[in-house]
Amino acid sequence: MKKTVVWLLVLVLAFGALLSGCGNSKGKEEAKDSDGRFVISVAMPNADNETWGNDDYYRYITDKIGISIDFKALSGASASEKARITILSGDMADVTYCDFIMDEYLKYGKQGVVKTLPADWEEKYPNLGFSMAMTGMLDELKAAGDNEIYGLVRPMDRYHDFLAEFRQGYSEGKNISDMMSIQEYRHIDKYGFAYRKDWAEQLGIKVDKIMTYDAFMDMARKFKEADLGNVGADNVVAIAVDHTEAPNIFVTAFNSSYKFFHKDESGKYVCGFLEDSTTEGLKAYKEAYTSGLLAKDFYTQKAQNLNGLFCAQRSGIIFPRGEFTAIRKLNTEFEKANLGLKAKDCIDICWIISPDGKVHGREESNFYGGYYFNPDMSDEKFAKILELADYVSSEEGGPQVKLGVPDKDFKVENGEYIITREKTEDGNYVDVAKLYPSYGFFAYFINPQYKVQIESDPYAMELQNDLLKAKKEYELSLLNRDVVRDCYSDEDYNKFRATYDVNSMFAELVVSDEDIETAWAKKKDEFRTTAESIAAKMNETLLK
Amino acid sequence: MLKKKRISVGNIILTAIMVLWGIVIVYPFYNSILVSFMSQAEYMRKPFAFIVSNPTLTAYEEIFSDSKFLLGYRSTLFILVTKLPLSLIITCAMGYALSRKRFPFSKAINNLTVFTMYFGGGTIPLYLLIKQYGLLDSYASLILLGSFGVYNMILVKNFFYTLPDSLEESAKIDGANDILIFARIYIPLAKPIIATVALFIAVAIWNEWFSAMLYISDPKKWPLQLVLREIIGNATDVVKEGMSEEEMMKKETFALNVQMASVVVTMLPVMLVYPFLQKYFMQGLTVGAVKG
Repeated sequence: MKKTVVWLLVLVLAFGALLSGCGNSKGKEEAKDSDGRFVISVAMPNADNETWGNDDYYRYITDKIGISIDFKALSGASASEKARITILSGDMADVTYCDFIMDEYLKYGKQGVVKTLPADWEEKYPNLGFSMAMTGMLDELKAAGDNEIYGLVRPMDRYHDFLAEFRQGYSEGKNISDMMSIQEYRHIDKYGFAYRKDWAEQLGIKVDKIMTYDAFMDMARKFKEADLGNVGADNVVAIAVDHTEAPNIFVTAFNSSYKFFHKDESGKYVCGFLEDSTTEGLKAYKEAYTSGLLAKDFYTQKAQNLNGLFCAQRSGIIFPRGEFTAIRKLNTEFEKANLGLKAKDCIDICWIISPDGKVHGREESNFYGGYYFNPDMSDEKFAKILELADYVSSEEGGPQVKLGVPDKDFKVENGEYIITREKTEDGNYVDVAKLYPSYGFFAYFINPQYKVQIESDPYAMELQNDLLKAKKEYELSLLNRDVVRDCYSDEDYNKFRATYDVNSMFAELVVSDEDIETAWAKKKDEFRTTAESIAAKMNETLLK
Repeated sequence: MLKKKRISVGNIILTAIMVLWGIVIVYPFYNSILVSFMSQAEYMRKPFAFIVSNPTLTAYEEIFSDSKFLLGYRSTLFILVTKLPLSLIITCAMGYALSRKRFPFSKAINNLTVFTMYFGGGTIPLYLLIKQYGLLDSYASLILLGSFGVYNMILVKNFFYTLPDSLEESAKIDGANDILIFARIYIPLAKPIIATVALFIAVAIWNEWFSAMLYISDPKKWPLQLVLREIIGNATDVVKEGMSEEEMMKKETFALNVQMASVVVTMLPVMLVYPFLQKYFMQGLTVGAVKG
């Protein structure tokens, strides 16, 4: 009797749980504001409806499109988890930001938990079409979804110098992904070292923008020996770098593809871990550690503390600092921490030419994050959202969302953008994001590709551009951009990438007393079979 | 005559080990407090110091200047003062009922509740349930959810088992009903276990962020831990792909003092309350463990 009651209770509970998932929100009237405009809910990390929905910039754009927006916060640190839960539970906002993972994108689309773009979206919204093409993966998205698009992927600004050429190419029906592979347009990573050029001068070291691997290591050694920051021998760190980036110096110098499944010279996929050149790079990494060029506890260093080592004069070299904002940040903090010293007199950047005579690095993909749409919303409402996406992707809207409110923060004269917004005490323009909280949505919604140069730190910009120019003067050995691989979603492949954290693996081997070659060979034996079978599967499925 | 206690070598070694062990436990707390007052330059030069030579309040300024922080405190305190009594009432009442031998189907109900310790419906069904009840974006979702904890109930139930049945019988003879017996006789005797369970519940409420992350979209209603997660997340995020220039510049390079200040600010109330409950806590745990 008792048993029967227990089972009955279990059944009732299970049935109740099932029923709780059967709600239907279709058929509800869609919210409109007092002017009869659609109220679009947007879930974004750190959104705050009170401030985001209440600035001139917000009003300018929403009036232009004829919508209202109700911002909903996704807790920044767990934004994607929450986005996934709301999407899968049928409770998503009209527009929901989420990390872009191809596997998820396809599952959402096939399950119908997100809204598919209308069939004629590219004709109706050509600017949006161009933006999506600039991700370099539009064709892959179309192929994977049988020509249906289940969400928007956010392009980055890596090709902004050639935007006019790409736009022209898109309007002529050229394949944008192929255009990105043209040598002139290829996007190389911005890896670079920031170093104390005043110290180098003091020590009589001649530093070129691109210097040999040995000359660079020699400079690091001399910096360490000289202790020009007077911090004491034990406190000097020759190269400030953490364990996640250190392989990008030493291992990349021997194999740009060391942590990727990539196509080798024969055009077949191989696992970078298993290549002999990776072992050579690992030996160089170990050599740098044992010879004291890295901090003893570099594997516990946090990336956000590295600037501190440089600014406290414990280190004369910091990596990676070849990208404009990273240099700008370093310059600012350096001057703040060392009153009287000017970044321009003390900081320069350089990169290394590898022992094979080539500049190593990566050709990077041009997408980051994406947006999904509520499947229950009406087509009219969805059209408004796509209209907004088209506007912020356009030649008018793109720069506008970066620069603020027209005729208030900037004006256009003879095709030139003149910034008129206020300046801070240090002479830089106040960030648009600071003036207008809703910048957090509009400036990133699909369009970050229009990069309007902010003259906040011309020296940092000069350093970045000079380094990129210098790199291109050498023969390059890059990990090629490979959208097919980026979109590859195979369970074993994903599991392998999640299981083998190469940066931690390398750091453990480098700090251990074991012979690095033997230890690495042993480690490789652990995953060799799996890695080879994954590569074989990729060759079978991707190279058809 | 009192015998003078001899200090043996063993005692000295043991004391030394205990002192060292104590330092190992206490120093991280002490270091957290120190780092929260350190500037970046000082930390970089001496991360494991014993005193701060140039203390700075910048980390605390950063935390307290974020209005969400005080709102977070308010939310957490509100949830605490509402959920804790509710949770104690439910837990004690259920524990008492299930500890009574004459309670019908007590074993079956007990098994059902224990079942939920091992198997849950999953995040999405729970989310849907909260949504169906219209509790999304409401404190009620955080207060009602988890207000009954099986583990705590088992502790309370085991405690009640240890009390002699004759208490109930004599009260019955005196004409008391079940509610009176529970409230007037059993509850006063259960102070140690109630204090223990109260501490468990209070700490759980204090540390809770996941439910709020799921069910609360309005940042003004976020509890303290979720707000801190945001503050720390914003401070520790390194410059990464896809960030705009402004986003990157906003990132604090030296985030450790902000993290440590957050630890201090959240840890302090719990540390202040804990010593007062400690004696009940130990007593409650051991008494509750007599009968399983």
